[in-house]
Amino acid sequence: MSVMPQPIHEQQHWHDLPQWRQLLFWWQRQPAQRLQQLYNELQHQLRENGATFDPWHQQQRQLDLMPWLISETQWQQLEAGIAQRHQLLNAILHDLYGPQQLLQQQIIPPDVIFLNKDYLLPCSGLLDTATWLPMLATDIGRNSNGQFCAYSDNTQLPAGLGYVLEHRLAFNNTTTELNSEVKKSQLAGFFRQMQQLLQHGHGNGSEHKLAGLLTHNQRDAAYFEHAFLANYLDIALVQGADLMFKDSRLWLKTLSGLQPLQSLLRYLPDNSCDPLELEPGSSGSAGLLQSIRQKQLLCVNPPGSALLDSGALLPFLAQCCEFLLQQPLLLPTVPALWCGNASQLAQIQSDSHNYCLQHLLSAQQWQLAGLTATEQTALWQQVARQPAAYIARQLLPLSQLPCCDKNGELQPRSGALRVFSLLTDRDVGQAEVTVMPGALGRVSTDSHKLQHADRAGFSAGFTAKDVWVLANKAQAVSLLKSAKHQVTLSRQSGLLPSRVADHLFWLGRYNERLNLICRALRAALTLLNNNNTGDNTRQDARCLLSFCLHANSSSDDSAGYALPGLQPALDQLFSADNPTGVVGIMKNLLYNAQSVREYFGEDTWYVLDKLQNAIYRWPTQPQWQQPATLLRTLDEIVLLQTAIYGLNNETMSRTQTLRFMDLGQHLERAQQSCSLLQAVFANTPPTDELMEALLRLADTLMTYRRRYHTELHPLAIMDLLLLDDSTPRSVSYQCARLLRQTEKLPALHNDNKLSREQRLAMELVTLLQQIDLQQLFDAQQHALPGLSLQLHQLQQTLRQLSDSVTLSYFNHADLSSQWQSF
Amino acid sequence: MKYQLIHQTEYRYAQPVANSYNLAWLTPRQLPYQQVEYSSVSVNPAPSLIQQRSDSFGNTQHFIHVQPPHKQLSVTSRSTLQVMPRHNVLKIRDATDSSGLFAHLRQHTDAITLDALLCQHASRMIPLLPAAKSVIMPLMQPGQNILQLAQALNQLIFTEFKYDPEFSTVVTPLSEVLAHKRGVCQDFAQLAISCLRSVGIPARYVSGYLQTRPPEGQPRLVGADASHAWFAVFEPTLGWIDFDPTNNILADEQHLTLAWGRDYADVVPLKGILHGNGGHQLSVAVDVVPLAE
Repeated sequence: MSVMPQPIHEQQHWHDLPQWRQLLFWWQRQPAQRLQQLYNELQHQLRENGATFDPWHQQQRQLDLMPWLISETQWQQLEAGIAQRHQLLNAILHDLYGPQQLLQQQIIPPDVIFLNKDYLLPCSGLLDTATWLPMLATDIGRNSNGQFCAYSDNTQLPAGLGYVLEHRLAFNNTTTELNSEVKKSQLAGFFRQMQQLLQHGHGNGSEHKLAGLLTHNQRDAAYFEHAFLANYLDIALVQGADLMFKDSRLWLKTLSGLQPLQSLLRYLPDNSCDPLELEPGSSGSAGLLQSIRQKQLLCVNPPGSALLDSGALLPFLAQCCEFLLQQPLLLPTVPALWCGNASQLAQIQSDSHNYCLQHLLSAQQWQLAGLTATEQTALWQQVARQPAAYIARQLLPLSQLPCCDKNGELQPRSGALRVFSLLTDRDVGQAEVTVMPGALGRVSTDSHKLQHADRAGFSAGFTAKDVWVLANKAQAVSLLKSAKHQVTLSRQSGLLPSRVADHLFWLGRYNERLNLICRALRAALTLLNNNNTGDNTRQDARCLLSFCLHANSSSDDSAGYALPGLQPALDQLFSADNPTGVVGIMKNLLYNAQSVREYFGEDTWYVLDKLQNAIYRWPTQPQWQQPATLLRTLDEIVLLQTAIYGLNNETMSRTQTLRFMDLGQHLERAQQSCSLLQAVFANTPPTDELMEALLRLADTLMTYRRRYHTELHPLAIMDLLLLDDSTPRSVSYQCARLLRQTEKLPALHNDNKLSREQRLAMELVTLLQQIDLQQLFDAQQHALPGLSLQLHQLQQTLRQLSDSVTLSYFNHADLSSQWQSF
Repeated sequence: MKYQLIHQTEYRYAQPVANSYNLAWLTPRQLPYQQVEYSSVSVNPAPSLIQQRSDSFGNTQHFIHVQPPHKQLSVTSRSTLQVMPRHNVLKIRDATDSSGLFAHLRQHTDAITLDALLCQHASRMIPLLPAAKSVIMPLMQPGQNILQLAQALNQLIFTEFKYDPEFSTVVTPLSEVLAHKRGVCQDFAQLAISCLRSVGIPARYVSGYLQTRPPEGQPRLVGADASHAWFAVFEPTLGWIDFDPTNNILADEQHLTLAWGRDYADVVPLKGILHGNGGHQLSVAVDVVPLAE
């Protein structure tokens, strides 16, 4: 039984480096307090810090203040090794999804491929001449000889690219004086190369075409990375629902119609990319494979590449290299064995604590050292049933690096690198590799954990290191910032997908709905809170509660306002499970916000986070007799959701983005105000208390008092809240705003005619202008049936406007329907 | 025997559907024992794209995209083909036994053997169930070759399993078929494949049609035929030999071959996908008309 060799110290490679001496010198000059402060600043630079949406989500990625240094000579060696490995893996995919010479010539046992869940038959012949593997992320650690050694390949979800960028920017912003002292290679060139690759696509057609980053529906740390990367590369961040196949290619559904997509940076698992040809019911886009096949889409990377990630090829890589490239493998690869070979299986079993076992059919993996004797026996029995479906790779000792803890002290940790490379077609059959001069460094106290192949991306948190590839002065001129500047000019990331517009519209509507319901509820509870809770007061409160109950139900308001009992009404509104209650609205608001989170600034996230927290602390048994707690809750919600308006006005730079939210907000306000006026005036004549509550609710009590002193006249109130377009809460004000906004919506037709949305908004304004209030009230200031009719007509038209916006702008992004197989 | 073949599939949707995407394996294969003289696939309403390619098994696959909103979609394949007798009955006794087969599979990795190796393992629709293994184990006898074993299995499925079109659908799992001893041709083919693979014998799924003969004195009914399926076993020197467990025969002149794969999922005659919530109705009409030569 061999014993795991002691890990080497990375520092021993640094001793002769002047940059290391500079770094140490700088370090020793910093007081402990300053180091702590820098450490905290670095963490704060990571985007998801302070903006976590999920209250249970703990920020888990940390950035080490001490960078990982790699000397120029060591790097050149590693770079050459990666370049060869990338060419090799590309050639392997070409062969396995093509002529299969590697199988026919017995270099790879067929079972290793045929028993592999990542070998996808529909991908056979997907790319005949073009590059199979445009991007590769290789995991690297030191082996027992102290050499850099590759132990895992990531092609399906090459996570970490955005992190590398983020870490470098964080360092640039935090330790400015250190950056100017230590000369290192810059990353911008690599990302520019990546942009060029995506912009060029397959190089067919000169028209302006788009690139996109295909991400998933969950809002997790990986999504953050995707949003960050898409923004930096200036490509559209898209989901499967944003895409559609037509005329041999994929198109992005945007507010201004379908836009052809020429390349896709794919961050969905292989099998989930195409529900027609791959896993049915998955979230990708039907036709994705077909558009790759017809060379209309450059996919980075094409589905099928995950075969490399499975680790199945590791035992055979050296022979593959000799066979396909007629060269010896430059970069050492982790020793790996195939259980289908009896002697190799015996070798693994005799030295099991040094191996990680992988099942090719399920992608499960086991660190054998971590298993009990019984578990191992059970596992070996399982392997014996089909040994050909298992491979084992040796665990590397990795190297130890000095890492800075949060107190500014240096501690040794094991570390591994993830290096990124691109393969671009120069000429036909002439592909060239570009290796990013930097890497994602990860450190841990547990060297085995670092080597656990995390195929779905980094699910657990980790401590990261910025990796500095040292350079002589001549090279170290390019700056990230200049690259960033160049990027923003084309503004592809500003293109608004229809799905996003849909979510923003509804975000606006729900936010406003929440505001009005909370205000009405607050008014009702305040009425009840007064000592005088006679029949009239209860009646008034019931009237407001009835408005609240209707506000979020889809039923037609013409059904009339049946007045419920106080307690049942409150129970319904406060029930956390009732989809039409206050919590229901908050959930809808958060769902829509969550679906477009990349459009908000961090401060907005902070507010949304608090709103989410309010749901978890929701009062369970509302008692109208003790309204104080309920009032506090409502106050808090109104405060938070009002902040959303303000923040978004500040941070949302994209005009159309804001326009759809604004449309939603004002359409909702107009709609609900009509409904509220109907509830208060249309039935029995309102009491003075109710009218005062109404004015307070609409923030117009002061305005009213200034104009009319103390007397409360239904007609005057109606004028203020319905017709006066200088009152920001009046229906008239909303309709004027709707008209302005509909004029600025993207034109869908090339004629000069008014859009349907414009015509409806005009109709609203005209309807209001034609209202003569004197005609709608009798001499005793009691409402006549005409009032109700007018309000009803307004609501009807508002509903038509909402439907029309949906039909014109969101419809091709039908959110409610799923891919359906038949 | 020469045939004219018409296979029409029609979908009716509850609500208009824009953008339906389909894959079809509806074009008969060109084979030593099957000459395809003519073959076409037509779609109504007119597709905005219909693209043909050869899949990894060499079957012809069509990608079909129908874009404008439609409430009805029909896909029709028409072919004229000549099917020759295969005389496989006579070859059965020449087959190797399982140890000969396994030795071949261990030593050879030519393209033909690779095809067999691909069909030696469980696949998406064909798990290797212990219950399937216990169906085939009692049939194994000393001195028996692999095709004799396949023939015994063919017979056992024919006699012990009841043909029941009401029982199963295209997604009925094999375990259900085994538990109730009922199913249709597709289930029987996949069951046989599961049994054979569970003892290491490569077997594949074949999709096609069977010429039906009307009862004596009655005319052929138009559209009364149906899709058919059977299985094939790999024999190193004889190649793939096709068995039809639904009829307890070897596939021959009455069997028209469309496509083959690991299981039904690899060669569904027509499958589609659309964005929408409404339901749909499906009707299929198949005509296998023998032509006078």
